[in-house]
Amino acid sequence: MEKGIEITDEVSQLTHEHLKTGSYKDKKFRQYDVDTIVPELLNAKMHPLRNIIEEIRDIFLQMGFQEIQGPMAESSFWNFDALFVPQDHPAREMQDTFYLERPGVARLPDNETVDAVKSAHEDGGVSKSVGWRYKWNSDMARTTLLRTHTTATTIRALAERKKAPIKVFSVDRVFRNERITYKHIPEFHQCEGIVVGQVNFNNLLGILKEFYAKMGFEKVRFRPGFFPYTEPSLEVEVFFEEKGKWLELGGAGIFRPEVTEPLGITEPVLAWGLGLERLAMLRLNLNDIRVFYLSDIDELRRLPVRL
Amino acid sequence: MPVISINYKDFRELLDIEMSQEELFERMPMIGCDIEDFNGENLDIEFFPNRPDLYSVEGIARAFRAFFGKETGLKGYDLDDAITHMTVDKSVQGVRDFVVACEVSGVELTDDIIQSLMALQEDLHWALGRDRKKVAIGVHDSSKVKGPYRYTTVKPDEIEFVPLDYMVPMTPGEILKEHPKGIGYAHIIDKFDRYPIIFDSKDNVLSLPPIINGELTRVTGDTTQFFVDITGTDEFLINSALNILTTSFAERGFKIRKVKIKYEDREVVTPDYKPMEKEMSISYINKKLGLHLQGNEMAGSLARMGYGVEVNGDVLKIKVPAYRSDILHHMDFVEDVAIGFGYDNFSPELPQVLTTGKKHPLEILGEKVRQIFLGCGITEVMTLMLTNERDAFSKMGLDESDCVKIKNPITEDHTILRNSMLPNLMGVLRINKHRELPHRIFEVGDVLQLDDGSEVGVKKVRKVGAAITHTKANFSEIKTIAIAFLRDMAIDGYKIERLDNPSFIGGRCAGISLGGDVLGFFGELNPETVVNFELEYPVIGFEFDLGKIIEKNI
Repeated sequence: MEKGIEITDEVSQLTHEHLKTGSYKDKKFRQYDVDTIVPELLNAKMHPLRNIIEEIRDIFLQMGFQEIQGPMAESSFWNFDALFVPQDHPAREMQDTFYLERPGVARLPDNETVDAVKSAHEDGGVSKSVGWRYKWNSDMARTTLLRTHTTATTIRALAERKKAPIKVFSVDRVFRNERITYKHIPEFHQCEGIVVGQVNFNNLLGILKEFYAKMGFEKVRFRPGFFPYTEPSLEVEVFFEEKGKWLELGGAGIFRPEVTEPLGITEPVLAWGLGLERLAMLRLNLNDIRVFYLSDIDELRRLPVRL
Repeated sequence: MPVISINYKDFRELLDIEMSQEELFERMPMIGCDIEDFNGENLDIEFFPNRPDLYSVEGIARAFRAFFGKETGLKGYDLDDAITHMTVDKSVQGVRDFVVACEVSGVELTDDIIQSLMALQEDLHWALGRDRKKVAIGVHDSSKVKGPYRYTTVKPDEIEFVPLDYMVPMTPGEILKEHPKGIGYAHIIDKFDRYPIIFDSKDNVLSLPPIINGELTRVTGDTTQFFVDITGTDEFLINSALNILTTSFAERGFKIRKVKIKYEDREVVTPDYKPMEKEMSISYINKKLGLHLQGNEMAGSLARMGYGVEVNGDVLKIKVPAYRSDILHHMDFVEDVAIGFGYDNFSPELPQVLTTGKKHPLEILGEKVRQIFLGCGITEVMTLMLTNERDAFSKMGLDESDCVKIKNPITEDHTILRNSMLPNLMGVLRINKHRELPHRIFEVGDVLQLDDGSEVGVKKVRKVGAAITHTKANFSEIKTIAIAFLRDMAIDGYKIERLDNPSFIGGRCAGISLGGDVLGFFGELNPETVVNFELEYPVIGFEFDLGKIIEKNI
């Protein structure tokens, strides 16, 4: 046969039979249009927040930090009082903090620690500050709550260790009494790093530059900030290349002597932290924080692993 | 953090510095503020709660004039000697102990200034006054009253006066019950049987602190003279508030005259602008900051922050302006040196602190667990620890068990903290019921249990939970996964035994135990449970206590 239909053996699926018998030698393999659409593979993967958490953990570990974890249900003592937040401070009010009915009351640490913190509030105590000038109430310190920041865990760790050099970090959940909206959620992740030793404010800036550079932010700038338990305090701004603008991404400071000295810590304590959900949303270009916790499994699995 | 809204034109006039708007907005945050919004007319700036001296356009302009080098150092304000006085009756003791006062003349008010003044009062009430409890400010048109004044207390029904915004006289008791400000702030004084009151020499009522002023002394656009009273429970703070308020007035060119306050056992004259004086070591500040500034450089930094400074060898003699109430400790000076020097002028350096990194054992475990489940094609999810009794217990067919409970929930969805993992996973399956099957999910996370023995009374337990749903999900499948998990975790010597759990089908649930402890369980979810979560396909589940692995050295 010269013209007409050419009958050849054109095969689509290569089989075990072909291979075993050698019959593939006589076969022609149909050429595919490599451009066809194939079904989407939604493979099992790590949660996107977990991806960011691992990256942050990695950075801290590379910088020689020890990972710590602490209680989520806390006493007001560790969440507020030990951090020199006065008992009449608005942050301690019901609208921002989840107070607990069960358990209702916590134990306080040893008398020495409690007395030192009490003095700090009442008249500055051992730190030569003027303090907040009011009568400190130990019952208020015993009330229980869900920690509002990882700093509660940090201050516990410092009270335990006391002696420099100390470099610890934690990445964990904190709680704020808020309704769920596209940008707010009552439970989210913070990371926090602490350095205790022969260090100063300039070193804090140096560590921050290094930390944020490892996160991929080469351009960083610092502005004065405010936290009740640090002085000096600062806010970190990073230049987000993809968006072409500067965005606030974290805060830092040196712990006030009113916080550290009652706990027997004599050297400067540098601290910094940031919220992870916000970073994740910026990296993944998401607009709704609920994606992480009230998840559409398909949407979750569609997010890139390499950010 | 208070957002102060100022008139941009007014601000630029008070600032009196040639600078493009662009450069101004670039440089302003370096004092410690955030520019929130600018609509061409009004500029919204967020300041920090510890700088109430920046809650007015006058205070802001003053701070920036110093910061940008136009008017540095300690600013002095003129104070005229007291002509009148206020006597303080001893009955205020224990009720509202302290008062400061002053007279202001040469007042010229515009709508903007009135608005700015009211905003400043409210912001001071919030920042210093703990919502009027510690500090309450009253500004009066003094043309209708005459000193000397009396600060005393009266019984709730002893007198009557017309409160601000009303037309008929009311007794203090009536005001607390009927006037909006009375209702709002009654809690500050209603526990006492006498209420604070300020009278003038003719027994006119100026105010019922901290509740409300009288209508008699209402401030209007025509007012040309003030009497200011600030009462409270903290003498330092009411003085700070008076200093902040009156120096703002002075910046406008109003004239401030002192008033003598006569307590039973002492006399003070307010306002007192005498600067607090402190000495600081230059080398100490350099050490804290990691700088090497000369004395005059450091003095310059502080002068740009409004301080008066003298250099004497290694010592800085610092004078703190009367309107700064936030200096608690010498570290507060250290921060101001850094801000005055410029946070952007530092040359950051890494410290020499040699330590080695170390992972938390629970996290090392978690990494392995994650790897195992991902290897089984089960994807990771995260859910909230906050939950409620319905989702955590009744939908699972369980009785409510001990769990951490919230005292002040704002929604009925978040009233307790989870003490197990599976219910939340069922919740995720529910959200995804319209997505194509199969669904295979796991979560590594913490649950909370009550624990009397611990300091806070709560124990945190690290667990892993998994849930799978599709048309053929069954016991065999989940057991296969459980066994593979145990193998990969290098856990052996365990026993698999029947477990009765109402969330599961009777006879299709098993516990994994080791050394007498039940470490985990798995099985086919009870159809009641499945239906409670609005699901339509069989579900298999698994839960395991990772904390026990570390605890028991497994």
